[in-house]
Amino acid sequence: MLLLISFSPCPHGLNVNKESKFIKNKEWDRGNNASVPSFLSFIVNKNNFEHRKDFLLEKDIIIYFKLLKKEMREILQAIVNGILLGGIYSLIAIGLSLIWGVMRIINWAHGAMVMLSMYITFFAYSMFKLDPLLSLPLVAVIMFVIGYLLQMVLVERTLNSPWISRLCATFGLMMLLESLALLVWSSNWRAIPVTYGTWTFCIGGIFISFSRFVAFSIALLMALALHLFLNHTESGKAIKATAQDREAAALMGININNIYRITFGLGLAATGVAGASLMTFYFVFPTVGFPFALTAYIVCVLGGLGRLNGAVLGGLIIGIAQSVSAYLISPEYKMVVSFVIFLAVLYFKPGGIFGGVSE
Amino acid sequence: MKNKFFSYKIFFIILVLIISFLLPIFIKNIYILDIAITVLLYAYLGNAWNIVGGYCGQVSLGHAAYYGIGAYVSTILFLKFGILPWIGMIVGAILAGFLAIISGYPSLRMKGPYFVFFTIGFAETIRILFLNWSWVEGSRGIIIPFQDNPLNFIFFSKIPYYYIILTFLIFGMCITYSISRSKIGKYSIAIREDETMAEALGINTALYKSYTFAISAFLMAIGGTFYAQYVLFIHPNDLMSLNNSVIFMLIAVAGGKGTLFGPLIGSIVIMPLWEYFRSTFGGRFAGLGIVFAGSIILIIGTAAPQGILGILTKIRTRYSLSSKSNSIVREER
Repeated sequence: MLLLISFSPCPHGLNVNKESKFIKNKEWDRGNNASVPSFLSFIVNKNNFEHRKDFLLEKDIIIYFKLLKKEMREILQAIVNGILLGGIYSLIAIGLSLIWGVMRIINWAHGAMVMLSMYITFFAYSMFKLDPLLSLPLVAVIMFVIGYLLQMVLVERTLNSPWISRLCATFGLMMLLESLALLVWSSNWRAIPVTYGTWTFCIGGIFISFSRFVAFSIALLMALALHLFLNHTESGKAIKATAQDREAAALMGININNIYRITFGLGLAATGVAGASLMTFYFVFPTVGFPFALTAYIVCVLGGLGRLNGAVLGGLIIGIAQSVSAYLISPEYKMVVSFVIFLAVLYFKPGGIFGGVSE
Repeated sequence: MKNKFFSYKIFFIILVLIISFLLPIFIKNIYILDIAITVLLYAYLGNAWNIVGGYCGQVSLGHAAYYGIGAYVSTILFLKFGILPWIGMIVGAILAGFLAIISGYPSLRMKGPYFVFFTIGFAETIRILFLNWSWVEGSRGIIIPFQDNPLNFIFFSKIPYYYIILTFLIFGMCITYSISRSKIGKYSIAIREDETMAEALGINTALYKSYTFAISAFLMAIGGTFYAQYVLFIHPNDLMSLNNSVIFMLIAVAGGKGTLFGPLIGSIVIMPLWEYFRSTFGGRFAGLGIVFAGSIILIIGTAAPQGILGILTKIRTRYSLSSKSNSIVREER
């Protein structure tokens, strides 16, 4: 198997001198012509591709690439991008899914929590020069404490009232946090310039961003760790018991309120991990979280309530769908595509792709 | 006893009507008149939301889509086909009602939070489509040329706008009142209280939810046309953003959802404060208005799910309990 890994400084995995050759040839400009609608530019790109080939690829890979068709490779690239994107979605959805599954509470402030953990990561970097991947456990612990306190102070009060008051409480919290962030930290976009931010693997001509790959592996590891925690520790089993039957669990001597606080904390800790690993390649601003959270809700519905494997798989499906549709149709419509998928799942399989009980 | 209470209520309504009709005579400051118009507009929109969110219990965070469609349909008909906005308003409203039925049919089978997700997704989809649709100017927005003529629904002074939106509000509240007294309203309340039970009693829940949804969207679209003709500039992000849907919900929920006067009271309390925060702290402390709105939603969610009217009712009940009149009857209610 031909496998070539290059750590090159520019994001697309092109060498700098080769890219400059590119610009000289003006091929790049014609391919990305802004006046051509994006659907047509895909066709234009395809026509121009023959001239581009020698700039785009390492010498060795060209041989391999003659075996693969161009369209196939582009689709494959879109799918790989989608898988990496899906890793990020599932990372964010895992925390949401845990809270939703155990407590039957939808945390509408989830986007704000993602934003908060990204800001914590950013300030850990700007104050103490901590790398996002190093500050990740720290952010998780801070978010756990925040979640524990939030549940104690805010959400616990609304547990026995109808769901709309929980919607109001958490939605109000989201608006409050986002606008406070705007007030205190301004609307500037901030990013952490990590050294590995532009590293790119090139496996068989398909480019894989290193930091996104790290985020993807963190998602898988976190899902595994949570799975082990829920199934093989006493408090994990207590959480599962509470999820199955609240009253019966209380009768068995489980402190329900404490379990709920721990669950909310755990959910937010997972969000903290997501935020910290997002910071390696993304930027933070006050309203960064909501689009992610909206996708995470869709992922949760897709995977089924409270299922960690469902959250991971749902994230991958949505990621691939968004990436491929952005390649085939247009990037603006990727949210539309995920909503269509969401609607179809709700309509045909309301318990998620694995089946199960819907609310 | 009941009769006395009723007459007291009617006296109150007539008083409010007289005050609101005479208000523009005393207000000379255009800015304050603008705030009054905003209050009435949002009371109207909150009232439209209340029909589906309050009476029927289907919390929708996608009503901004119908609001935007109302504005866009009348404007496009006016600018591209020369049809007067007064007619375009009705066309847009009917279109929004149909869209509500079409979009509502699958969505109204969902319950609780799923329905909220669906409405958000629907509104965002419509917004993205309008943002990328070049025939309706996409993300550039549409500027309506200023030709002041009552036929064009464009006036030089703000006073006609005030009376128009006041009429709309009274019209909308009459519709809400008649719905709440009719079969649709009773069925809606039954659906809100217990959907499974309502279904078991033989109510076609999907049908009645669609009815209320369509009426609500119809009224919403009329509000959208008013906004377009008042501001004379429309943009998908101004009209159809999630923020707008949240404000509609906030006004109805803050005043008291599922009550006739809830949205009006909510709008009277919230919109001037919002405007004050925005005008005073807008530049230096952007976002303070939303801090305020967010904390109101949060407090209402945790402490007073019945809104301002609910608090008033509680106070009145306590007062009447202390005066020992009809305490048992009140308690039973």
